[in-house]
Amino acid sequence: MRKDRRPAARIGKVLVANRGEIAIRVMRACRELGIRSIAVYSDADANAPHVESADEAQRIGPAPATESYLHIPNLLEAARVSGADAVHPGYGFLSESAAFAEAVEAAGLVWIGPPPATQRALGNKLAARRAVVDAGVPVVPGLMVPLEDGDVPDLAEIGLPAMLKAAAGGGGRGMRRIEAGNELPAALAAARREALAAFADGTVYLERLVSPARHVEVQLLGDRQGNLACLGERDCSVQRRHQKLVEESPSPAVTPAIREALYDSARRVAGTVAFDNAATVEFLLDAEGRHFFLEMNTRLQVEHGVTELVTGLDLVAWQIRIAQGERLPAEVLEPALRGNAVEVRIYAEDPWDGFRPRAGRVTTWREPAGPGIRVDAAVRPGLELTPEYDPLLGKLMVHAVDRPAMVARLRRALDETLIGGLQTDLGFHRWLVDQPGFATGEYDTDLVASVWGNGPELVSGLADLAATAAAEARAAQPPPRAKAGGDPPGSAWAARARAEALRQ
Amino acid sequence: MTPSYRVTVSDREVALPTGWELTWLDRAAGVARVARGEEAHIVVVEGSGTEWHVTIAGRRVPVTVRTRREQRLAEAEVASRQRGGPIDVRASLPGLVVALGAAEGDEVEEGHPLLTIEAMKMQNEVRAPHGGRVVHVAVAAGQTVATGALLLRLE
Amino acid sequence: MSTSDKLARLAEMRAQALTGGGERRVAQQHDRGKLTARERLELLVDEGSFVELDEFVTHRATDFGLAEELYLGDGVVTGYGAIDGRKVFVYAQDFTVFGGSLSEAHAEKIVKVMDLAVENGAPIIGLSDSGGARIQEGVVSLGGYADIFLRNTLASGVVPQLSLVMGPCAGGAVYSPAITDFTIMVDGTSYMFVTGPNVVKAVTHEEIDFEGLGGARVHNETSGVAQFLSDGEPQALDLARTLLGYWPGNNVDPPPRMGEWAEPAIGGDELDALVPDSPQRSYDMHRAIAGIIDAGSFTEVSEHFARNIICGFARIEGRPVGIVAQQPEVLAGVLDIDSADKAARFVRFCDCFNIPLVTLVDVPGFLPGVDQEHRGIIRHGAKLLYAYSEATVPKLTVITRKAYGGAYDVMSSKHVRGDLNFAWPTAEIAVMGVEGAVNIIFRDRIEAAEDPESERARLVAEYEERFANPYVAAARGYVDAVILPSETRARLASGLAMLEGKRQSLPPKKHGNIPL
Repeated sequence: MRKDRRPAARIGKVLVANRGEIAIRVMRACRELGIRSIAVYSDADANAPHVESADEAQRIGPAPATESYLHIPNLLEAARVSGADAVHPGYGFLSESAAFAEAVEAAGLVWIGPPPATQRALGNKLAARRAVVDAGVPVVPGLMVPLEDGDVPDLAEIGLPAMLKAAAGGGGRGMRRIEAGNELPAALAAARREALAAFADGTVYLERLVSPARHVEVQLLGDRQGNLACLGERDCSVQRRHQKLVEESPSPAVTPAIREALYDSARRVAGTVAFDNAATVEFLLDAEGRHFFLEMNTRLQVEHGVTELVTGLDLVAWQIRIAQGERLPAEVLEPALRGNAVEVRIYAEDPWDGFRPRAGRVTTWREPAGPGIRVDAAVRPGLELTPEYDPLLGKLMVHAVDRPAMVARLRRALDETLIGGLQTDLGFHRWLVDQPGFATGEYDTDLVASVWGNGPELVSGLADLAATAAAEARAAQPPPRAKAGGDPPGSAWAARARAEALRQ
Repeated sequence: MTPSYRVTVSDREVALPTGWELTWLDRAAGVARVARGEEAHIVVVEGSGTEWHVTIAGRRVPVTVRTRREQRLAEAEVASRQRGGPIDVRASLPGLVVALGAAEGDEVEEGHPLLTIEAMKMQNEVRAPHGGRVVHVAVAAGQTVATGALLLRLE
Repeated sequence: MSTSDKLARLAEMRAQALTGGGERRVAQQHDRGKLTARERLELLVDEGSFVELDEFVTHRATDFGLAEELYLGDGVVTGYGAIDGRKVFVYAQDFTVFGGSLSEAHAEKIVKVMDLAVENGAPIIGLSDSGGARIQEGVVSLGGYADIFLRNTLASGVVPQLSLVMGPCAGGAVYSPAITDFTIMVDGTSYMFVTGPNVVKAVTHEEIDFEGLGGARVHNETSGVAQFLSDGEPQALDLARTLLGYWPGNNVDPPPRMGEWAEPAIGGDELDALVPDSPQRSYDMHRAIAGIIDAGSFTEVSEHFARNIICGFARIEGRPVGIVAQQPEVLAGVLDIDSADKAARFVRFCDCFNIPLVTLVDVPGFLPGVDQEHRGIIRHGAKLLYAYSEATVPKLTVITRKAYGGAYDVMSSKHVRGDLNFAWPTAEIAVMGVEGAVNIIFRDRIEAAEDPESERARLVAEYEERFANPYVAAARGYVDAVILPSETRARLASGLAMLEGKRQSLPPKKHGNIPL
């Protein structure tokens, strides 16, 4: 681990270059550390909850993300005007943009995250694959070089089914699955098109589709002095369209031996770059317990809270401390992992309609509470969902002493959660928590596609209940039209006027 | 007298079960308890009049609650819409066609400006009486038309 | 016969009364796409509120062997009920009995509910579905009609009267709907005419079918005899309920005010931008209306007739109002014979029943032409002027753009006792349009000029600046205020509240002599 030569800096003001729940999360950590926070907002977010949570707020542009949350000059200007001395990028948006990180540092501000060089090195998935193989880390069998049009790869060696992936990408885009060699040309063209549109880079490579598989990732925290902590693993196998819906720690499929192996690989991966701050190394775990490197994300992740619950650590606070040059103490380097924690993401989408995103206004929002419940959300009743941004309403996290208690607690929390105004994933999570596979911890990345499908049919009991509720509500409602009429005019004057008019 | 309702849940008619009672826990937020004997559920009810949404266990279902009259009316509306044949849009005044707002084959919405006729020194917009497809355009820009002249045909 | 037998007999008779003309005829009615009288009443009034009267009435004819053919109710179902909790009196002709034809007894039933309605101050709703007079009864049937027409006339302006034509309505029978306040016709299954196609063909050799001579569309679009066109019977009955929601039950009560309302569908900014820059461009006056009234509260009257003027009922902050407005998109919004007739009757209805009038003005004048002059635009236009002058309900007027010449006076101006008159900044209140005025006033100067065209253009610009605006009128108090379009609703709402107890009368007279 190379020693970092950047000088330590005392941070007084952080500009949070993000929105929604993660912006609020970062601001909370700042507040606890006595640091002032600056929110940024687009025109669509002028009254958003995250703006109210900060000490100051700066407008950064009109609603489209490209003109606001992704607009580096506007963000830097906001930092300059507000006198920020550090920038936290949250997740998504520019959190893995080396260009942004470099611009921030060039402006003399502290970047709260892994160094830009790390992002450059690991941003390209293909380059990362090659680098980690050299470091002795197992990768998913497949190509180490880009796939060009007209190439005929050795599919017997790679294995079928196979997956085309964008070298520059993530989030499930630029990916195509092929079952047989003849599907390759069309799938390649499609993947390339999508990658070009999403990441401005059409480079695509091919690897085996490991299935059934579990998606397991290791949380890393490293200081500038070269110390590195592995803070447990998270199982994120419940996904739709290759995006995570549910994450838990520890993974039901990870034994102490597998954990050691994962940690070892994670350290090796981190060792290929000059890493510090927070990052996550993602792996696929196959049915035999073998792991394969997928990618390293050089930022804080959506599901970081799950790790915070089992370790008791505040990762955002540690990110800030690390950026200030602090050394990680022993209790962080060797954390005690306690109990089980799970997070369910609540998106504004319809699980019964292919998880299609739903626009609308949240009318009712009741969060669960009580022992072991943590909700990170940026919603208030009346909030209108802006189509420009990710429809994540919030994250419901649950922590309990063991896995069965965690499942029971999650069930209780879901029952307490009431959301009105639009369809959300809540119904899916409520179904999941009753699935035998989930109770035993035996599930994999195929769960949503094959077990949930398009969701169960509306059970007649449920339909009856819905019918009753609506009918009762309507009967209780006052009639829509005026029940007035037949009442004589209110005043004596008006009565005279009426009488006079009729006497003509 | 409590009217009898026709209820459809997710477009399927449901016979109203008896014995359930609804108590509002938070009227403004739409939170209610629906209970029958020992069984109770907390639901979110939103809506008014005939259109409702009920969320139970995180699943939000659309529910239509209609009185007999509203049911008859809804059925009649559906029947009327299906009956529509082609409509001839005719000039209600003599004038000069100055602009065409739709071409043959276009799908237009009710109120879409189909063409502009200049008359009485004013530009008059002729709007689509209801949505449909333009199957025939009988005039061209620059053409004079008399009252009653066929302008176009909508289906 | 024991008491329980007697009770059973009543039950039997009630059941029999419900069968009307029998299963076969009921099926025929349904096959024609029509409902029976009782089915219609069920859809019309609040569930369970209908109380039938005279269900056991039978006819008294003996000629032509009719004494053997008795039907309980004799082809009409009469009684009272509630619409949205408010009392109404109804009669529905039963086509399944003698083709719904009118006999002495049938007419007496109708007359009874009409009398009850007037005595009890509640609206009368008549559903027509009848082949006409029962020929077998001869002149007695005609007398029956006359009894009804007399009561239509006596009740006119006392209680609202609404006719729904849901089948044939021919010959003399048409005069009842004609005298009532409004007529709703059902598309495709209803028709009205004084003389049918057969006689027309025999006398004038014109060939035409029922629909073409007097169908719902003809009366809604061409003759103006009907004010509403419904796609089907349930829609027509629902429309009747909607209309009653705007009206009081009688001429003493105020119109019913809603406790809740929705803000206008079109916002202030859009309304401010509605009137186009160029006076040659038209705009849809419906949008101006939508920017003023409670969202979803507009029910247009005579939508398909004289489309250059818009009439309809609406609500402002829950208060029913009658809207009259020019439609610049049709015939540039000029006043002509048909539009003057349409608006005049509407204004007088509102005046009968204490419904305030809100008038939106964008009128360039009257329609020129030999046809209009020869058919009497003078006396028809006078109708509207008379109606507005005579009306003592609150009159609120908003001039949106043009208000030229005599038409300015006619359209609820201050001079005819408009209570509150507003003008938008785009208003042009003048004797005539700028071009015309300049051509007349400065004719000599223009002719004498070196460059007549540019002189005319200069004078037009000058004149426009000085006179084509609302401020000259405002300076004289002819408009009470010049307001922004986005301020209109608030001013109207406050005006309506202020004028709630308005007390204005007419000189005592038997009745005026409105030009007809």
